[in-house]
Amino acid sequence: MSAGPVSSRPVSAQTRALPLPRPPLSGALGALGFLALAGVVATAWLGLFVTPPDEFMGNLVRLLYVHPPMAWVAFLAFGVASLASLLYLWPRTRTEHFDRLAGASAEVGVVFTGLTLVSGSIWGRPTWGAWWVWDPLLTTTALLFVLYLGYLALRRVPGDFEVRARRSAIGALIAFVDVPIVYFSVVWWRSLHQAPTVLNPTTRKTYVHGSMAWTLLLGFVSFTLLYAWLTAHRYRLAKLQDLEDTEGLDLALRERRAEGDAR
Amino acid sequence: MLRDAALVAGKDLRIEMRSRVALNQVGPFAIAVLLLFGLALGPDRAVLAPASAGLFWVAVLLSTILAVQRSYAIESADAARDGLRLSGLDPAGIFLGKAGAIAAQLLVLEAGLTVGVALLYGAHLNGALVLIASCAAGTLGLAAVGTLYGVVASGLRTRETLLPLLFLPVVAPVLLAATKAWNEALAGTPGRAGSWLEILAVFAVLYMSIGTVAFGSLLEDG
Amino acid sequence: MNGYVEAGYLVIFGSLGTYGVALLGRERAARRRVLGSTGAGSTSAGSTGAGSTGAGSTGAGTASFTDSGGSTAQAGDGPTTKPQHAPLATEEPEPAPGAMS
Repeated sequence: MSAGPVSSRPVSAQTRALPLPRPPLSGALGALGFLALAGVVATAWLGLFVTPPDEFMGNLVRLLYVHPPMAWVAFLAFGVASLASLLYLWPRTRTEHFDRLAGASAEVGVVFTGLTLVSGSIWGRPTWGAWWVWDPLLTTTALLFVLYLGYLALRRVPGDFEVRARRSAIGALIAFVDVPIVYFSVVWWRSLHQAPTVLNPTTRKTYVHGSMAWTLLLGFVSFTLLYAWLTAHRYRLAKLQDLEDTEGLDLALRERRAEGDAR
Repeated sequence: MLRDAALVAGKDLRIEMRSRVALNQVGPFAIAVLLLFGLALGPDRAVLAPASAGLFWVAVLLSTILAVQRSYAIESADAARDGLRLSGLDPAGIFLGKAGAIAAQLLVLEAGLTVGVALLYGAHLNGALVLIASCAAGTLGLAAVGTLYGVVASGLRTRETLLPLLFLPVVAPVLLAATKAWNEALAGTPGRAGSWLEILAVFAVLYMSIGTVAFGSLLEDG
Repeated sequence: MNGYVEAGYLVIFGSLGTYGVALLGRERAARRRVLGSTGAGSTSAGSTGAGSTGAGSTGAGTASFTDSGGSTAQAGDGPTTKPQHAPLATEEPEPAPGAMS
């Protein structure tokens, strides 16, 4: 039973003496949250009440104030997770922060991806008459969704921190590299058929008029802010969970040592 | 590296030839899949024949999962990674060897499946060159991704469910492109399969490269 | 047509709101646990379930939870684990890695 340089302080005092400091940047994070919330609420309000119905789509256009921004965030989150993974793999920038960021961004991303699919589907039902069509972007998003889920499952596989981080990072890169291939093949795939895309949701040719354009822009900005805020908190949660795990470990070690000492 | 690859591939294939698990289990599995598709989509050949290419490739994808699991199972049960690691062989070589062996087995399987598809669904096998080319490129890509994810999943209790979840979404483009290439070939317009074959080739090269580079660190873990 | 728009907005903002609130709640709970988890035998790390940390850990079960990182933190700026808890790290008895393996 290795004793080693046991601290002379009693165990409980050791941890109690060091309360966790208020996490850094709480003020800034709060401000971000406020802005994000304000922006999102404003987008919703403008989208629902202030902007006029579209001449082609009628009221359905209102969904297009939220669907493209969320799709953008879905891909942004994925990009951030992949970039963080790459940085983790690069020896010079290998810190636990990047691994944690990747995980946080991925979880937030999967939420947005799911909602992108749902909003796209809801928009599609009255437009195309079906809850799902194999639109290139929707299909790519659907595959992105499943790729995300696989990545998150991979993150949960137990193991040493560094092992997990590296394994997840490689998994993220494998998936990231796949996304452009998926996109191009699906676009080609669709272009061969008479696509029922009355209006590709990403070409916003009808958004010429003032309030609609601004609302859409506001949508993009506020959802991005929301993503940042959510990811920051998810990151914090991850850090706390890591701390918890470590403390649990310390506790078990202390108990084991106490056991040994008691003999 | 290549010598190690040949060593590993040779070993894997020799084990297969002696134990014949792929032959006895993965093969019948693939045939069962074809039959089940037949049951699901109805006896009408007018429905099945046009769908042959897609069903063929889905069967291939599912069989790849089994082949990958088998490939890692033949290393010592749950200590697959340790065994490979301790062998002292170049990890890139191990990757290429394993992927190569899996690809070889899959190609044999695909030959059988092709016959099955012609028989069961009434597909007319035109454009043989494109059919073969897409099989070659597609299989390489599948084997690469499978070997990569396989090493991650090997030795884990969750491997049976984790591997398919990781593998299938990533190889979706292979399914798509290979099916399209086959469709062009079967329809008598093999010339139009060009861009699909490109995708398959790019995919194969990309993931073979990633595998060669990344396999080493994946092997070390755990 | 209007029904779709309302339903869509409800689902979207409702889900995001729920997720955000739940996230804050999880974070608060985790912070409380970490702050209060001294001798209380709380090895319940994994209770919040999903998360980037993977399996909850008790000392016995997990593979060594990177105290190898902790020891490099001693040497200088450990690039991996716990750079924030400089105060904690300096107090940590270093045989942890030895004890683990």
